[in-house]
Amino acid sequence: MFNFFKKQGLKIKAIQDRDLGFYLRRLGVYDQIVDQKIHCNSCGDLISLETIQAIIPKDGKITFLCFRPKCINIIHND
Amino acid sequence: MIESACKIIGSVCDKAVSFAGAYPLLGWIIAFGILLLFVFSSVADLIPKLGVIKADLLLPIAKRFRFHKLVKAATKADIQNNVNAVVRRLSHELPKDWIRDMAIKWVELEGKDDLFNDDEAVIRMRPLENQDLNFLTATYYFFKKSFFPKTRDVIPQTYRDASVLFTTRRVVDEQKDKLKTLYEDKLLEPAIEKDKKIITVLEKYGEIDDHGFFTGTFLREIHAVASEARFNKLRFQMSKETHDILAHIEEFMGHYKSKLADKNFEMPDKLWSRIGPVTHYGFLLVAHPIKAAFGADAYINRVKEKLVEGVDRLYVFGTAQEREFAIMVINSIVGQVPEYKLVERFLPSKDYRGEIGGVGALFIKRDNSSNLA
Repeated sequence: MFNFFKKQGLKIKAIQDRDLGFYLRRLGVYDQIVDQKIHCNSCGDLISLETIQAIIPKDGKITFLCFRPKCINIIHND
Repeated sequence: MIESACKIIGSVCDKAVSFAGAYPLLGWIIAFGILLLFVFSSVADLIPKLGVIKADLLLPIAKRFRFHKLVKAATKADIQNNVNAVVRRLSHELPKDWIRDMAIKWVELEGKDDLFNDDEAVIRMRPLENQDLNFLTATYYFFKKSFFPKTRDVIPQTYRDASVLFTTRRVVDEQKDKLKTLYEDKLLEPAIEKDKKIITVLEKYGEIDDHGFFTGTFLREIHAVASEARFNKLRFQMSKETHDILAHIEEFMGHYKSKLADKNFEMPDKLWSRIGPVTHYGFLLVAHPIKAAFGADAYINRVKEKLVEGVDRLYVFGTAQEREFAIMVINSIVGQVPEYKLVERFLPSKDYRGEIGGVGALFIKRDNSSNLA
């Protein structure tokens, strides 16, 4: 309603837990994750639907970070 | 499908109209209540403190009824407004243009092209029971994205990560205790595990922040140096330069504390400024209007001395106690020393004596050919 008063904020892209499966299907990577064919870009462990914490576009590929604190820590261009 | 939806909406409208016809007063009260809620919700999106109230109202309802859209609205309102309430305060302290409000964008309807076009990470928000973790992850990521615009890759990683961790800690300190434990376990410990030097740097940040110099001078100065060093060989000396700036501020603060303890202690002149490969910055600490019987003249003279010394970035700090006087001195510099241009005014969390409050300003020399603002 009053959006014209609002300054452009810094956008943080996020996905709600329940929408994750739907979103991964849209990205075309759902089956690979369910079949455990994708690894965390930081620690190298296998990624599952439960352990995904971030989805990062990198060098034309979709990469993932798992929920481990040390992996979350490197989020954003590190 | 659309036809049946229209039929349902039409039937609801008919019932609402017939209800309003039967009970006009009640009808008007309900209509007014809905309008009020709508206006409150919209205004709350503009004012973070109101937004926090909106989130506090939404969260228990969302937890109770679990409607997906409501859960998403509550998650977003809670994180976005709590972060923005803190960030608005920090924006007066941090270098200008670093911090904007956070805006969470749900991406479930986006595709591969949007992901690559935006080139932004998508972070997962856990269920409402993990809202503290969601808040912490979003805050940390937000600062990582906001800090050191354009110079992120030039600033040495230890100092950059420590700056984000340190500022996140300050936000966390204002929240509930549970967040502190989460911060330590999920962010601090892994960061130290990855880079042991961070712990030393964080301690140093804490020391200079107690006197307003972390956000006041340090962040501004290394950002200015990095902006200049982006496309030349100085880029490879950023580690040493950042270390030296921090060491200088620490030494300055150490001597200043000795002076506070012993009034006869003389601070070495050389500590009042530092000449680096890119910048030559200096400090002017404003206090004691009683001593300044002729208004701001004594300070103006000192500023002119700095100009002669070649200081091209002058940081003026005023105490919380003498805030108005410090503002008057800053305004007098603007009027009486045109060689210096006022680039920004800021409000450090603590003044140089360590008390809450204080004011600060950054002036740069006008004939400085480099773009250090």
